[in-house]
Amino acid sequence: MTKNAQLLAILDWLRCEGVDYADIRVVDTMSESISTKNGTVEDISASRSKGYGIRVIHDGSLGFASSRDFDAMHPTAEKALRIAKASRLLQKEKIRLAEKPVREDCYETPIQMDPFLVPLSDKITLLLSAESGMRSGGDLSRTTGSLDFLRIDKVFADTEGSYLTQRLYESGGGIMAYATHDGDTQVRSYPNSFRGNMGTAGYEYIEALDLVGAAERIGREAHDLVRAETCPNGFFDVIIDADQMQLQIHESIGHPVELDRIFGSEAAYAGMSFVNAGMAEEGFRYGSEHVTVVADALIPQALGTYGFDDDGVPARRTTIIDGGILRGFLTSRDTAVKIGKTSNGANRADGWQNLPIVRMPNVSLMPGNLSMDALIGGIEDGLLLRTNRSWSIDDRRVNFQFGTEIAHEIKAGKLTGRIYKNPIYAGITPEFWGSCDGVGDESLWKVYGTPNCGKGEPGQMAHVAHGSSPARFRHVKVGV
Amino acid sequence: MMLSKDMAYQAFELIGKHARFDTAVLMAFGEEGLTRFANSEIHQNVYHADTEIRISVTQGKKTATVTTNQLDDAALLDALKKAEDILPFLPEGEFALPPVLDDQEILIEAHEASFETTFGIEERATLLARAIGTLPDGFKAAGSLSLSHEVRAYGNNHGVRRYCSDSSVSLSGMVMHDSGASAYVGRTVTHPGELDVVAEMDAVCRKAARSLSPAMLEPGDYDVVLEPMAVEALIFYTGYLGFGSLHHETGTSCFAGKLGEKLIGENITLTDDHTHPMTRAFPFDFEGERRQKLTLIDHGVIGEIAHDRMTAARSGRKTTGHGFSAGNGGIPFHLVMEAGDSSLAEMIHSTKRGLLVSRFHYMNVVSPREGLLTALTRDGLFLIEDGVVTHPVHNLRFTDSLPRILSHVVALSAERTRTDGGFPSYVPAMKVKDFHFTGKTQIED
Repeated sequence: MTKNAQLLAILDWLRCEGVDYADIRVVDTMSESISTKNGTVEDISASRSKGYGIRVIHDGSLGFASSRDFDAMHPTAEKALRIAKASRLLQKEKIRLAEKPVREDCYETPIQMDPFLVPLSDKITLLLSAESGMRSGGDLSRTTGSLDFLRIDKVFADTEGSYLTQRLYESGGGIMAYATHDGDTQVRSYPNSFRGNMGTAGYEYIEALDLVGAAERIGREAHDLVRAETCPNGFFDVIIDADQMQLQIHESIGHPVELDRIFGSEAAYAGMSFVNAGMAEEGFRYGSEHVTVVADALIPQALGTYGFDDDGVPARRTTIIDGGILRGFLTSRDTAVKIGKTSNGANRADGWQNLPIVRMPNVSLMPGNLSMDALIGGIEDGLLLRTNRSWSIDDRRVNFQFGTEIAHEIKAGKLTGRIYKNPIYAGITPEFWGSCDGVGDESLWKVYGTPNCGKGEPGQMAHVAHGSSPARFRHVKVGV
Repeated sequence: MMLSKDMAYQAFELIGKHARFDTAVLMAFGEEGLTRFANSEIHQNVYHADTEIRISVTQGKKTATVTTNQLDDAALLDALKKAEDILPFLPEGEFALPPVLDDQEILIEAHEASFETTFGIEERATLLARAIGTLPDGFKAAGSLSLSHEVRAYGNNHGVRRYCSDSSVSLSGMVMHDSGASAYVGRTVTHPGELDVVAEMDAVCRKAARSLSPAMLEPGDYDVVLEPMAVEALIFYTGYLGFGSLHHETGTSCFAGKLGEKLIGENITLTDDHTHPMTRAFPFDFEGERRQKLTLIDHGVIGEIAHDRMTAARSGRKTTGHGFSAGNGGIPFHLVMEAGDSSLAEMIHSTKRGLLVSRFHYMNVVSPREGLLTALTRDGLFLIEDGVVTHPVHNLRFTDSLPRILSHVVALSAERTRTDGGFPSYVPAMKVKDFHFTGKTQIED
């Protein structure tokens, strides 16, 4: 492996300055984004952002400085060191890092088709064909399509001797159909809302989405949805499909088990957690025996898959909840050490310009053993809820409320064919997960990427993912 | 190094000289030093600086955009070429948007270098040590103190030039008791001497002490007195959902098709005014268009929509200079709400039974057509009984519609507050009848 001599020289200098620890991350991100609307290309853009961030721990205090100017790497390192020394002015407990393996290694997202080599005309044709397909499904007021591609090259080097390179590819796409009728507008999205679905993969991921194949159905559903009645209020047994379960897991399990949040790191901004650091040892009951949740940064093609986190810790699989019992957290080196553990590789930064913080990789509800027919068959009077439309949760991650695009009525164990618009459901996190009495089997399990997970100051966006099958919950509050 | 006017204009000249089509360049420079604290100690302390250059090339009804953060001449020309090379692949778009031709220069140089001596790296740590180093037993502080310098510059190959720089210091400060009781302050200032960190955090600590031992309250309809930070969140969504052009175009705005109608209370007047000294000066939009002042709500009557060039073209109007990013339509974010003649104390005094709300958390749109919003209260919720704040209560969720809320405003304070955020609003406190709370935030034993 050829190493970047400039990085090694800076790390040598920082060692001589007596730092406890330092690392440098060089990140070069290339992206392409295409948006179509009503049969025309609304936006086509490409971007490149390259720079580096230097993290220093000196006398147990942290400093971080970043720059896009590679000629200014030494003054940037000096600034990081100066910031770390300033932090010492208000610090009670010195930062320590959990042990990690020192290694020189590389990782690259396995892809079949480089998305940046696929002709633009092919991508545009795909989206316009999908838009046309949606319009054949019904009377629509607006159709949109989108494709997004990223290539992220990273170099990580630290004073402990690790030197890691990564090339990550991301591909994503989606379509949306809007129907307007009698003063109302409703939307159906495929494969998910907010620009569809995204994974660490090449263009083969876009082809597998089959946007054109799904288009007519999505158009028809939007046409029918705007003419449907508003979802009734009350308490219902519900099945939540995987495309909504992903955000349910994200907000009410993923964020609450971030160990930095539990220790108060986000208290003034994103908030804290009802979970405390002792709950895993105590075996807190988070949900029913059907609820097993795993953080796994190794799932092929999932958006939260990588080789190493930004602490240089290898990606891994960690059980968070086992049969309803809390067993673990998402950790970084500096948080894991506080509970006497090693990091499970969940410390990641948004680009070169930000400090790594604890972020979800792929946090998933593991499949159960029920078919879709069995899930539905177990409901006398209820709803099947699909595709996220809105979300909100309190600053301790207890009270959540979600809206979905569509609800399907279930009566006497069967889908009646009737649909409702504007469904909303709400709950209290452990009560809700405690009411889960069945999860769909492996054949129903899907992974959905979330490319817009916000956290931290300055604000950072993380690309994470969640796998789930449809899951059944009893006596859920629906409506306001 | 900060992006100077000369550096920006040189880049515009270079790109303009080599451009083969109508070409516009937007440059955004940001430099921030941010000291973050939690558990009453500094736990994150960071610095970053970056310049983003967005080059948009238009040929008839086709536009391609390339963004880079590489500022050298070769990289800029490479980005220009890349954008031009995309054009042949594009089908004809909906409209041929004309270039910005208003060539009267817009120039604001409000960079405040003296902030470095009062809110530099060591000064921020020292200030925080004084402000939160010795809180009373059981209390701890969290938040951030930051110094930012920003530049936005626009130029095209028709000689249009705009440059706007400013500096700001922001305090986001929370004091929390071990029991979970908390209070918060958010302040952004643009002039030296406007922020006393020690005094602000002291006030927050005293307010947190008043939040101890909260009571449980059942959800339901309550009269509420909203402090300015709570009003700001509602007003942001009023601007975005009520007057963003994309929501009108798609029919998903709660005011779609209702322009000119008196839909809400006579006492509500809201403008989008970038010239107001309590908003943040940004006199042109992300498309280079000169920003206009808009009256969004005039004594309850639904007024003007904020447009960008594309939504304006589609609706047969002219842009109002509120472009944000492609595909998102115009968005107003220099919001100024007209004051009333009441005060926070009078609003509390006139309340038989209600709630005093400090701020909201995680507000989101549940149903845009109805203007239905939801959020949780946070960092201080207090019961008012017989005109007096009697005791704190646990946080609650509200779910209610904007038009209904704005129709039930019974008092506005004469005093207004500039709220924090990248684009601050200027809002009064507000009293609302029958605010609809829908959920508790406590786990039952």
